[in-house]
Amino acid sequence: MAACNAQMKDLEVIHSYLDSQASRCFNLLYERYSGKVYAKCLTLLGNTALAEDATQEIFTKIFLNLARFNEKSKFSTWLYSITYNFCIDYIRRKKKEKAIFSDDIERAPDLAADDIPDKEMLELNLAQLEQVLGSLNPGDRAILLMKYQDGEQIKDIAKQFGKSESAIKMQIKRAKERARKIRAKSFPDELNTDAYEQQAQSLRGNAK
Amino acid sequence: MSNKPNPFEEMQNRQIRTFFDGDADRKIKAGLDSRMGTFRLLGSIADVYLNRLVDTMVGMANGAAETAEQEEQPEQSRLKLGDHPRTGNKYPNL
Repeated sequence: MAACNAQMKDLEVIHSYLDSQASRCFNLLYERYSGKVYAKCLTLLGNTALAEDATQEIFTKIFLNLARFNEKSKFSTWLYSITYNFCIDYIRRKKKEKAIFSDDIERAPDLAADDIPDKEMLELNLAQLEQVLGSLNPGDRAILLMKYQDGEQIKDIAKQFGKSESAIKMQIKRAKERARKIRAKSFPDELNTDAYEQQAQSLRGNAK
Repeated sequence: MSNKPNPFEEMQNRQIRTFFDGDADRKIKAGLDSRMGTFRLLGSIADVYLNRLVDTMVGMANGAAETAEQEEQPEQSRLKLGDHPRTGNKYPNL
């Protein structure tokens, strides 16, 4: 089998690695994804030293379990789900919190997630976004990254967390509400409250 | 349609730049290489010695079984001094 090269797709690299065990192939996967894994760890854990340790642990897991990758999803999706789970488990162990999501999420009705429009999240500037994400709980942070950074579908997020789609929609809705509150509190001058009020009124009107 | 990254992607891009510009990448890579080396070494040791260990254990088990068999039937396997195995005479040619 040919040695791995930068033009190969992820799956080709993985097959080549599993056939040859060549370090070059694993290094290629590391070069492609280490930055993104580190960035997610940094956002979720909020500390560079922890993010570095977590990145190393996650790639060790990948090295040991690559043969178990069943190709039902993209490699990146599989890798990111390991990343999110690792970081959330770490935070849970540290804080001794059993549940990242509250119980009422499990009983959530089938709600539309778009009560607060995506535009509002996507209009944040970098400083606002970092402030908002830093103040949210890890579950909210992870779910917003999955939706707005990775562009994942609700059903895929639900699969990763082992939750129902309606529970995930509810979680996203609440995360956005909390993000809005944090933004309003941290950046009161930049918030256009009239626009929000208009939006809220139009949503109430739609609901009727 | 605009190709401008959204703020989440922008934040990720900035964190990735910091990762590669600083020494985080180098440190993680070095740690990972060391771990992978250790795992590979352990794998090679297991490959080479596990078969031998199994062979040795099987050999030992067989040896023990044979010894046990011999100990169970000591009279049949040995002739008494002066006994011929077929005739039972002390001097079979006479």
